[in-house]
Amino acid sequence: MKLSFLLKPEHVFLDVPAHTREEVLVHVAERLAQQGAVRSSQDLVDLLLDRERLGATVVGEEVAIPHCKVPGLRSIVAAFCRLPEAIPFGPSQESARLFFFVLSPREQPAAHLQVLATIARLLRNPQAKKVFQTASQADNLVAALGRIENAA
Amino acid sequence: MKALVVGGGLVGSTLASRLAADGHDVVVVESSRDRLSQLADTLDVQTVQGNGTTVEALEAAGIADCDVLIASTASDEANMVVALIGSSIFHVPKVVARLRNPDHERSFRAIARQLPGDHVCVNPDLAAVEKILSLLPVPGAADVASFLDGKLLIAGFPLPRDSAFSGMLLSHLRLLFPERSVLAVAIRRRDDWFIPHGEDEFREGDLVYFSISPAELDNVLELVGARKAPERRVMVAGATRIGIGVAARLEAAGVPVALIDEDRTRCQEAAGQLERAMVLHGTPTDHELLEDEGVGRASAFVACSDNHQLNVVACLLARRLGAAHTFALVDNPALSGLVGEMGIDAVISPRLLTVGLAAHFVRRGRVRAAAALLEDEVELIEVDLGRGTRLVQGPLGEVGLPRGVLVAALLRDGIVVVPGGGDRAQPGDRAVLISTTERARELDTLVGS
Repeated sequence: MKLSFLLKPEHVFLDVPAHTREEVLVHVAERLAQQGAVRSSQDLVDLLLDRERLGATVVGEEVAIPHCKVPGLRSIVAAFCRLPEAIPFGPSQESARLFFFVLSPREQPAAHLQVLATIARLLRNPQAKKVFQTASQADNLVAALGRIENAA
Repeated sequence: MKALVVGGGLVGSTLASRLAADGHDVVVVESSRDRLSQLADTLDVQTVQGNGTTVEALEAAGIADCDVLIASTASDEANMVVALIGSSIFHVPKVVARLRNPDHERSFRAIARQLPGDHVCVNPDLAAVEKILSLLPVPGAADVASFLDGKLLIAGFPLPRDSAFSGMLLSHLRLLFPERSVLAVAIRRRDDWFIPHGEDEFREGDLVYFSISPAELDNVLELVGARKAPERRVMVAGATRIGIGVAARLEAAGVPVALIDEDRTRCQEAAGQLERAMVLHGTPTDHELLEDEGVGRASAFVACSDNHQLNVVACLLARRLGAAHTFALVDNPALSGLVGEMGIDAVISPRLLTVGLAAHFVRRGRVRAAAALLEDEVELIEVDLGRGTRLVQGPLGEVGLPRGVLVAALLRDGIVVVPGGGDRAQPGDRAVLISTTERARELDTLVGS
């Protein structure tokens, strides 16, 4: 499973002006709803917050991977969001600046986990991490990611 | 502690060497002079030559002040005599008898109930049947044991290169399974065993033991990259006690089974004991027979004959003909070392399982066969926690759990709780703890009251 196949440039949101956990989730949920990827941004925010309450999805080194299963979704949706500055994102104030969103149909629990594992592994690659930290355009980001994943 | 081992075959000698490594004084009684001199050369144990079924030989070996007596000769009858002498005449506190025939086991239990001390029968065949039955529903696993009334599985998987786990950090498991329904509890990397921490990494080629809530099993199989056959259909080679035992339990569970043996009499006996299973007369290495009987569509091929080399060959053939997973009985440790590299999913050694069960009983107390691991480098225990145990004195992060010891799960009011460092164990909980065998002694200080 490659993230570069799953991540569409229109779901890459760079330099998003958000300062709190809620603002990030709402911003991304609204953009995804506008593009028709999900039906209701409010429902999505609620589902993501429910998942955060089970245990924060921040994985360290300023990365968080908010995710949830969305009823009625047809296929897995991945999105990436970057903030200018890291913000607190977790009960112990762990900070995050890079956000990988994974939304999956309820019927695909294993594929959902596969995507989460893919992202967790990918971010241990310094080259890939750098692309997410520095890319200036969505198209370039996805293309550079594809090159890294194909070389691995 | 002083341990007396009667019978210096593979089980007796392996057990003697384990107990000696645990720091016990071990005496081995054996009638064969050749075998005895071999043992004296290779092991740090005392040896006494003699017939262990006689009171004189046992006295000469120091049975009067021994704490544990292990009857591990090849004969059930001899083992019963040894164990009963130990209990009735010398009142040995802990007695282990290796018995293969279930009738002997029943008789022994009936007599032993009247006698002082703690007794346990270990049955290599039964242990092997239990192990095979726990492996079958977990394709890709090299070892499986079940705990907490089946509500927790501990399964060891070799990680292939394309596994989703390879390259992940252990701490990432919390992302995938926020309720800790899946934990990595032990890892073998090359020849080293360790109890991992969040900052450790999963690597290709690791043998990883996971604790898994059964509801997550399919997800774990998917992430490991295990091949799951579409339907369960099992072919068993060898109408031995183990082969028939496996076939009987599978047919009772509604799984289609075929049992093959080259001996006509054994086939007839098997047919008499089984109801729905198909019993076939033929050699398990007969290419055509296996193909005709649909080995290519088998979810598992289990070689249970008494000829362990034949078991390996039959598994390799079955695998080539398309069986999804293969399992072989192999007692010879040198042979089983090779087999892992040949693509056989798991080798089951009835004798080493016996050693594991007996060693566990000596170290701690009774263990269910279903909770025995194939590997002796990790120690898993299931214990009821009393009020006085150190484990219940505060949050688990603060009771002084040594590094290398992990509380995998607690059973409370019938529900499995996987605790974090901030959680408390409570008196009355049943706990599953894991450690490497070299650290196993620290478990005692944690769970002893």
